Parts: sequence; structure tokens; C-alpha cells
Amino acid sequence: MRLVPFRFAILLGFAVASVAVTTNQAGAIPLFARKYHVSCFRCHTVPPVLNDYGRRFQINGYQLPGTDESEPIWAQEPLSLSFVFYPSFVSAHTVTTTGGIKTSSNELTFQPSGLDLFTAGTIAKHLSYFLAAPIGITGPGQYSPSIETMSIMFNNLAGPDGQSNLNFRFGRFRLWNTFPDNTTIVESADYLIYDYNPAGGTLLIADPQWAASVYGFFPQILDGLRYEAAVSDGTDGGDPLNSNEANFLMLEQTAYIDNAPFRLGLYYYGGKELAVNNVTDNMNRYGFAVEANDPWTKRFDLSFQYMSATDDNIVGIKQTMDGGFLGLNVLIVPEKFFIYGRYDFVDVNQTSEKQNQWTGGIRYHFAPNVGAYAELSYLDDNTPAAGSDTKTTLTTLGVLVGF
Amino acid sequence: MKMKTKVGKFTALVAAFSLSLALYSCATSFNGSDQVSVARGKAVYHEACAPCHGDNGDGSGPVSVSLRTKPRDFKLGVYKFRSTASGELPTNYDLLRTINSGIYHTAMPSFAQMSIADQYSVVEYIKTLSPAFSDSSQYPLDTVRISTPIPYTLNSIERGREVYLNMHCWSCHGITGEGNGPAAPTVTDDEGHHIQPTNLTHYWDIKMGRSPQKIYLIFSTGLNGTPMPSYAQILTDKQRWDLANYVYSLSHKDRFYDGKQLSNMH
Repeated sequence: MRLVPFRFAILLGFAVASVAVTTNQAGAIPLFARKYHVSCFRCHTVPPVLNDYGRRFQINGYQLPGTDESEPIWAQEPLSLSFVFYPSFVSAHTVTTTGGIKTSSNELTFQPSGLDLFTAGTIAKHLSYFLAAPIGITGPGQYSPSIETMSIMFNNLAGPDGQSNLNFRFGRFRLWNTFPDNTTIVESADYLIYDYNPAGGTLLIADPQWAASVYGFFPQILDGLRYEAAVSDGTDGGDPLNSNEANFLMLEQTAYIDNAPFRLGLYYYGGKELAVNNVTDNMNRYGFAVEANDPWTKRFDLSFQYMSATDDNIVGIKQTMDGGFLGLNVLIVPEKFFIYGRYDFVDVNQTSEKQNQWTGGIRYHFAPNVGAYAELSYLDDNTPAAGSDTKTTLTTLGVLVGF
Repeated sequence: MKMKTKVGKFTALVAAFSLSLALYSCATSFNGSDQVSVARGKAVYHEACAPCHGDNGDGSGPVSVSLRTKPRDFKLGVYKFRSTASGELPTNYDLLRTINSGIYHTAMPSFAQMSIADQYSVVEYIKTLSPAFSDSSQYPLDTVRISTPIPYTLNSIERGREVYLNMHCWSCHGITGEGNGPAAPTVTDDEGHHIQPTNLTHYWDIKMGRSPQKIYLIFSTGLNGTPMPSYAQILTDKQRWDLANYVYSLSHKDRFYDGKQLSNMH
């Protein structure tokens, strides 16, 4: 038991040394920053959290707001390709109480994370693409490449060029909620509400899924109205639409209060999926999201989301859930040092299951594309009906490198 | 003779009237197209520029807080990168060039993919954000003429090094040009924000002067709003070219600390 902190300290030292070495060699910067000769922080408050410029860049088909490029990627230099890897050390301490009997375990692991490959850009005027392909490590010397998201976007189909009023996309992608789960600063703890799926199927609101959508942005309305309407056939693709399908609708309005963004988003995600017991579960998720920056220092970013979920057939019974999260990101030194925290909660009404998760962390960037973080996460999963309570504490030390 | 004079006066009167009419109609139509351009510029600005420069152009857009090099405050009408004399406003072309090319080592990207008409409309709109541009006392602008360059030779670089030392450039930029001079920690801009003197040995740190011509222009215009002065009245044309060649040599890693490495130069 006493060896665990000692080992962790050694690994921590190794991680810091790795970052120091990597920093000296980090001359390159990731894809878009390299293409447009700007720092990563042009589009990110802290990678991967997008700032307002990054959000406009993304919705304009991964090209600068106000522009509609026509040059295909094969004519562009440098090559539109970047890699991100994020190894980490994780110490997990779990205490489980079942039927009054308490057991505990400790585990220290190194998670190499693999390598995420990204390529994106314009193919022709009004046409762009995005592809994310992680290469996972499945065992000693074993690597498993996969395609996480790939989409074709038709940009600026109506309205002035570059203002993103009306666009269309098709492929396997994440639907644009106010807080997509791939743009959170928290690395070690998932959003609990996004992972909630009692039917055990594949339809998850925040996961990449095969879909077609109409989306856009109106900078003309206050400081920007964003929308998306999509039809999806589930995350795996190829599923017949009569057993798996969902519709998604999102509206989000941004207003600047003394140049501090305030956002309100509303969303609905509903459809049906084939549950594990081979019956159809009609489900829906809806809720709202709020984001506010403090208008004085503008260094505090508060986020909140509420979700209500209904599934009509979970082993023959209807099940409802209320959940959400409250997050705070604080920018201590621009482009350098950040602290953050988030509280997640899920209440399943029929089973009385309650999940509460607290996460806090610090992040330091040695260079725009090289950062290190330390996180502490505590999850309490209590299911009185089953007489079980599991408390998990994760301590994570990781590195993020993009090139 | 009298008849001729009368005819002459009449012709002159008609000509003057016609010219006035033509100028008036031109001015009216130009004003009209200007207003269209400004309106278009405002829409483009709101989409592409406001996240950093702010809705009202004061440089405090929502993105600005996370940037170490703060976006320009357009309300002040003070611009670093110009082709005009020290303290003067930039020309339309200066503003257009910054939008088109971006500024290296900052968050300001190149908007070359934006149509030239849109870029120009943004220039027109930005000019409405500061009263300085409508102040007639600011005109005409005195643009700096770039003279014939002095060849980039060892002798010129050596002379430039002497100028660098004599003019105390090192007090901010450091003896080795690495931006670490004794005054560097206390350098501020006109708004009181600390600014880091450019590390002249890092090619990628240099925002605008990436050729001897552009470095010469900076020495001639100065950087308004910062302690970097114009040397147009202090140094001769030849000295400014020598200094430009020396600074260019620093950014290309031909370092000459106290002349010790000059022998390596070919």
C-alpha cells in the first residue's frame, strides 16, 4: 500500500520530464493553427474548449469566419494533417458496499492513449470535410485504427458567403449541442448524462452517429443564433431505420454582455432503438444549457446543463431520469494556466439510483500545443434497490501533445 | 476684344459649373457607395472580427481575454504597422495589407480567402470606429518612401551592428537581440500593458519585419503606441538600411556577438 504513492511520484516525475523534453522539440503546431499561421488559442480558450471564434470557425466548415474558400486541400501547404496523443497515469481507488459488506481496491495504470489523427479542410467552394481517426492501443504491440467521425459539409448554401447561415452535412459526426463531449477540459471523467442509456443500445446523444443535418449560424441576430436539425440512424451505422432512428433539434442564442458571452441553448433528441431484450424502446432526451462568462474579469466561465430523459420500455417498465452538470473554468494566465471543476448528477426516478460526480483539475501549457494536467475525480454511484454503493476516486496525471 | 472676353467668361462659367456638377455627382455617388461599403463592412466585421476586437471595436471581444497579445483597439486610431510617418494614421492599403496578410506570431490570421471587396469594406468600417479618421487635420498622410536598398553584405551588417549599439537598441532588444535587454521587463505600450520586446533572433517571433525592406520601413515609421520610435529624423537613410540588414541577419541566425562570429559570414 505504501508503495503506491512512491510509484506514483516516480511516474509523475517521469511525466514532467517527458513534457519538458517534448516542449523543446515542439516546433510544429496542429492542423488549423499551422494552416492559418496562428496560435491554438485563436480558437480555443483552452484546448479543446472552443471560444467564440472557434465556434464560428467550426460552423463555417472549418474555414475562417467571413470566408468561403475554394482551394482544395491537395493544393494547400502545409498538409492538412495533425496528430494528438494524450498519455496519462491513473490511480483508481474504489470502495464498494454491497449488502453491508465493504470491499476496496487500488489500481495504478499507465494509459498510453494511442494517437488521434485529424484531417480537415476545403475540397471546393462551399464544400469541406472533417475526419478523425484514432489509432488505439489494444495490447502489447497491437494497434487498432478506427474512424471516429467523418463528414462532408456543404457550406454557405444561402446568405452571404462566410456567414454560415445555411449548411448541410452528412456522415458520422457528433451533433452540435452547446457542450459537445469532445470539447470539455475535463479529461478523466465523462459527462454522466451523455453516457446514460438504460436500454443498452447504441443511441447516445453525444456520441458520433450516422446522420444528416441542416445547421447554421446567424450572426445578424443579437450576437448569433445557432441551430441544427438532424436525422440519425444510431451510432453504428447500417442499422435499419425501423428499429433505430432519432431526430435532433437544437437552438442556441448568444448575447454579449459587455463583451462577455452569455448563451442559452435548447435541445431535443428523440426516437427509438432496439434494446438489449430485443424490444423497441421509444426514448427522448431534452433539456437546456446555459453558459456565462463574468463580464468584469471575463476569466470565469460557468456552464450548466439540465437534461430530462424518458425511456418507455426498460425491461417492460417506463423509466425517467433527471440529470445535469455544473462546470467552472478559470483562466489564470492566458494561453498558460487554467483551473477547472465540474459537478455531474444523475437521478433515475424508478430505481432511485443516484450518481454524483465531482471533478477538479489544473492545466498548464508549456507551449500552445503541449500541456500537462492533474485531475481528481470522485464518483458516488448509489443504487438503494440493489443495496449497492460504489465510490470511485480517480487521480490522473496526463500530457496532451498535438503536432 | 470685348466680345471675345465675354465669350471667354461665359465659357469659363459654363465649364466651372459643369465641373462643379460633375464633382458633386461623383461625390454623391462615391458617398453612396461608401455607405454601402461601410454597411457591408459592419456585417463582415461582426462575423469575422468582433469575437476578438469586440462589438464596438475596443479590442475586448470575448476571445481577447485568452490571448496574450491583445487585439487592437480600433477606437484609438493608433496602428503599429503603417507606411506613414510616426504618429500618423495608416493608409487604406496599410489596413488592407494587415487584413490580407495577418500578423505573424499573433492570433490575427490572414483573411486572404475573403473577397477583396469584403476586406476593403472592413477597412472602411474600421475607419468609422475612430474619430481620428474623420479629423481633417490628420491629412494629408505623409507616406514613407522606401529608398534603394543597400546590399546585404558583411560590411553593411557590421555597420548596422555599430548603429544597434550606439542607438541603444540593446536596452530593450538585448545585446544578443534576444529581446532580453535591461529595460525589457518594464516596457509598456501607451495603454500601460506590458509588451515584450521582439526576440530578433527568432524568425517566427517577428510580426511584420521579415525582409530588410520591411525592417527598414519599421525603423522609418516607428510603431505607434509603443516605445519603438521612428529613426527617420535621427538616422541617415544609409544607417537605417545597415541596421535593417543587421536585424535581418539576426533573425537568420547569423549572430555576431561583439563581432566574434563575423568570420563565419560569406
